[in-house]
This record gives sequence, C-alpha cells and structure tokens, in this order.
Amino acid sequence: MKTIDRLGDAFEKQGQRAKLTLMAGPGVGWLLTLILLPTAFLVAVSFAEINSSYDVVWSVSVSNYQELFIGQDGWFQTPFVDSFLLSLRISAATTLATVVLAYPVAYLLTRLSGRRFKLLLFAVLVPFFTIFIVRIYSWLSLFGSQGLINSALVATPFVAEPLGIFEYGVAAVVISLTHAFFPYMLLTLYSSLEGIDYGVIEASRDLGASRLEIAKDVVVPLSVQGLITGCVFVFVPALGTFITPQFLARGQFTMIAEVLTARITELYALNYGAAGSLFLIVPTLIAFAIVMRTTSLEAMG
Amino acid sequence: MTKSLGTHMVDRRQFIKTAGAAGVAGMAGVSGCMGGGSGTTVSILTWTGYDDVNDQVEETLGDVTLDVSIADGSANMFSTVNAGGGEEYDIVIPNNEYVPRFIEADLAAPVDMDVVSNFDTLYPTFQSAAEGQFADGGDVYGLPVQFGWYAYGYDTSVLPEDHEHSYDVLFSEEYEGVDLTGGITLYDGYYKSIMAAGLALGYTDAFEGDTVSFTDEQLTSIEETLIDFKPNLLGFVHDEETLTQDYQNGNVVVSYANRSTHVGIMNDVENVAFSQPAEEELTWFEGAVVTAGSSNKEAAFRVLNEYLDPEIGAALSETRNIMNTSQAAMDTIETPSLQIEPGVLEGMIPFKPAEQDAAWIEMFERVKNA
Repeated sequence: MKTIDRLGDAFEKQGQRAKLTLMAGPGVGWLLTLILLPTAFLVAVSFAEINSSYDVVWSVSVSNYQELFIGQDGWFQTPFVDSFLLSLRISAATTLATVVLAYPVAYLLTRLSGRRFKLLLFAVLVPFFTIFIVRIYSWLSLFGSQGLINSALVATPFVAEPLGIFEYGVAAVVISLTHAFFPYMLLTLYSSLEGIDYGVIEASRDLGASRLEIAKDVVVPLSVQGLITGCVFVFVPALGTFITPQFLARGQFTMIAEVLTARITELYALNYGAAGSLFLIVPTLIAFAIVMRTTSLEAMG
Repeated sequence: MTKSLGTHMVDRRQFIKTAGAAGVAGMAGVSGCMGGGSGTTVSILTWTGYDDVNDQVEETLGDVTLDVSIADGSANMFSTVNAGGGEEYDIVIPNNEYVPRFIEADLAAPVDMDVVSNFDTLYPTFQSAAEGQFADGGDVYGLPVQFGWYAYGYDTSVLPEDHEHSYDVLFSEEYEGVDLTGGITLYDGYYKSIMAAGLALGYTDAFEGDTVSFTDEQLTSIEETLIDFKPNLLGFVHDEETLTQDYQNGNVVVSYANRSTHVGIMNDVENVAFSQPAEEELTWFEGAVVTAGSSNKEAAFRVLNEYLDPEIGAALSETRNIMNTSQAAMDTIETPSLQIEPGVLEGMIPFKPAEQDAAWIEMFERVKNA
C-alpha cells in the first residue's frame, strides 16, 4: 500500500512538473530568445573590435569603454559623458513636469464619474491618438523666434521680443517630451489614486487638516507607489528618446541615443554603440529595482 | 474495429498526400504570381524616387522585376548590407564617398563594362571619378548615377540675390548689411558641415588626394570656428520638410544643404534661391554598386545601364529633382531647375572619404554639446 502511495505521489509530482514546464516553457523561451540572448550578444560586442573590413572581431578589449569615458582632455571629458548627463537632466525635468501636471488631473478624474469623467478623459487623451511625427511637426510650428507662440506673445503689448524659452533647444525638447509622456503618468497616477479610501480624506478634513496638509500627508503617501511607477514609465523612455531632439534641438545638443546612433550608422562602430547602450541600461535597471522594491504589481495598474 | 482503424489510416494518408499535392500546387501558383512567371527579380537598396521608374525599366528589360527598398542614408545602406553579408540586395546605391567602404569590406562586384554600354555617355568628370575613386586593383566597382552639390540657399526677401556669393555668408553675423544672427542653419551631419567650414577657412589643400585630410591644426581651427559661431546659428538641420517650414515661418535666412533639398523648398516657398559660391562646390554623386554576393549580377548591371539611359535617366532626374551623370540623359531634360551652367562641373570638389572619420565625428559631437 505504501509503495503504491509513493508511486502515486511521484506520478502526481511529475505531472505537476510537466504542467509547469508546459505553462512556463514558452514564456521562459521567449525571455531567453528575445531578452537574455540579445543582451548577452550586446555585452560580447561591447568587448569586441571592428577591423578595417568592417567585420566584428571577437576579443576581450576594454578600449570601447575607455573611449566612452576618456577624452582628449582627460577622464569624463567626452561627448558620451556630456550627452549622457544632459539626457539624464532632460529626462528628470520631463518626469518632474509630468508629475506636476498629471497629479491634479488624475485626482480630478477620481472625483468625477459618468459622462463628465469620460469627457475629461477623452479631452486629455485625444491628442495622443494622433501620429507622433505629426505632433512633432506641430511643435516645430509652435517653437522658434518666429513660431506661433513667440509671434502671439510679441503681438501683445507685454512682450517686446521673442522669449528664449520658446526657441528651439532644451526647453522645447522638455515641453514636447512632457506632452508625449503625459498619459503614462496620468493613467498610472489615476490607477493609484482611485484606490484611495476617500473616507480617510474626509476624516482628515473633519480633524481640521488644510488642503495642502491633506495632499502632503494623505494623498501623496497613499499614492506613492503609483507615483514611482509613473516616474519610471516616463523617465526610462525619455532617456532613450531620439526623434524629439532630432527636430526640436536643431542639432544644438545631442542626447545619448543620437550619439550612439550616429556612431553606429556613420562609423559602423557597433562595439562603441554596444558599450554605450549598456550604460544606458544602468539607470533603467536602477529605476526598475526601485519599483520592484517599493511597488506591488497591483499598484502598477 | 481493426478494419475500421485501417480504413481510417488509409484515408488519413490519402488526405495528407492530397493536401501535400494541393500545397505544392498552391505554392507554385503563388510564387508564379509573385515572380511574374519566369524572369529575374533584382532587389535594390537605394534612395526615394528610384521606384518611380520601375515600370519603365521593367518594360525595357522585359524579363526583370525590380524590388526597391528605401534606406535613410548611405551609412544605413552600408550597415544594412554589411550586416546581411551582402546577399540580401543585388544593387545598393550609396553616395560616392561610401563606395570605397563597400570595396574595402569586399561587398562590391567589379562592373561588367560589356553590359553597361551607357558608361560612355557619362560626363568625363564622372567617368574619371569612377575610374579613380571606385577603382581597385584595375577593376571599377561602382557606377556614378545621379549627382548634385552642396552650397547654401537663402531667403531673397532678406538677403538680396546680387550679394557676393561666398561660404563666408555661413559664418557671418552680418553680411552686406544684413543681420544674420540666429538665421543660419548648417547641415546636421559631421561630414558636410566640417568640410563646409574647412572650405570657408580656405583649406582647399585638404581636398586633394583620395581622401579629405585636414591637419591637426586645421581641425582645431575648424572646431573653434564652429563653436565660436554656434550661438549665431538657428541650428543644424538637414531635412527638406524642416527647412521648408523654417523658410515659411521666417526663422531662417541662410541654409547650407543639398541643392536638391533647396529645389524642393523652392517648389513650396517663394523668395528662396540657391547660391553659386565663388569657392568650389562640394559635389556628391550616387555610386551604384552590384553586391559581391548577388546571384543576379548580369541582370543587375542591365538595370544600372537603364538608369543611365537618356530617357529613363531623364525621367529619374525629373522625379527626384536631381541631375543625371549621363550627359545624354541631361540633354533630354527641360526642367529649368535641373539645368546646369556649362563648365560648372570643372570647378567642383567631389566628396571623398574623410581620413580622420572618428576624430571628425567626435569633434562634431563636441561642437554640438558646446
């Protein structure tokens, strides 16, 4: 009897393992094929060299990494470092701007219902149903010394000459990216704010808390998981953005994706591009590690 | 039970056989439709506009079908072909300065001059260029197809047409009494902008030889010039749509870019003209290469021969707003914007590979981030 039981248990366990393999196998295979293997290839190429016939020569050379960080004037005096730091600043500014703009809208959405909720959501999201490149061209018309914004301002008695903030450059890129990534922040925050028990807010009011105190001590702490997730969803794609600076920076500066693309296409420097891309992954991994430590899957929406 | 099972098995085998036969017949039918029956499909990686003359080429050759893919620039063409081992495309048509790179990477096949009978109709300048820049070990590996040059366009309502045409305009805050501050664009590409700055600074000696080679002092001087002048620029721009919008909005007064880009702008915006600087113009020409890995080389060279044909070459030029390297093709073109002054080719400097490619691109990145 005991032998039969043991055999039964063994078969059951084997069956469960087979089921698990069947269920998880395609997913694991997908991850291996499309994420881990390409990343491993990227790492390998970052240590390789390109010969005069433009072939990849497999080697273990750190020269590509040195090229990223050691310039003609010394350590960290390279275009890569400059563009990387600038990209981090632009991404951070974009993230901050989306938080400031999306928080009140997301909160308002949670307070509305029915027709008014749908109308506001539609009004906020409808610009994002247009093709991205079309929106970029719209921004192109709006910015510049003779752009629509500056022309309108100069036509008023309050502004004498075109304002620098509406010229092409960093400000134009940040404004355009904020517009592009606004829905990511809005929907993530909305998902998080919607889960708040508003009885807590009413109780705070009853106890004499001001609006600012309620926002600071109740709303923000209770929606912080959504806030962190939203920040990651905005910061990561903004860091690797390519098209927006191509149009709105007017070549006055280069973001990191532009530097790597130019090296790969113009010089066929796949090794330099691979090494640089790995450093682009670092802040992304840090951001995701923060999310994983602070946020549950439910809070991510 | 056994009989039934046996019958079932026979039926299944029959079904598989029938389905297999139907599949083979279907595939044959589909491939017949796709390939147009017998004949050769020549795949081409090139610029926009070439596909507009597909019908004419196919009609002339009869047994050849063209499959044209568009690439965003010569660098992309090289990366794509090199990554694929050179077997995916029969023809690739980068700018001339990239052809030596294809030769170095063993991606180009020697031109079969017996097939390319229209080679003799090329302007002598381009025949010489092919036999020089595109040659290696006694063989020629590329065919000049179309050409143009870089200079500056300008808004004639701000800068009069009778101003002294010179590259100095690109590096002046004020030129002949016109304030150009913030109204100048340079080309958004290290190669063209650095060469333009080099020419403006008078470093013509760097353009002699097979490559463009500035001395370290010259490169430093070019970098300083570009950085010093950067605050006066609207920016670095290269695409026609953006420049068109800039001219329409009155953002730009002078723009350094391709002639064909400006011809496109002139079609949409009044008061834009293209200059003819007193210094030499930097000329590019598209160098068509049949890939070493092509299994349709003979058909590919026949196709290239048609791009140099007087009628098809002229049609290609008119659809792309770009001049043809074949004198016979140019003689049949009537479009005013495609006419060239007699002798204009003699004063041109052809694009050549940069000797210090990596140093140039790094310098341009420093300029942009300055």
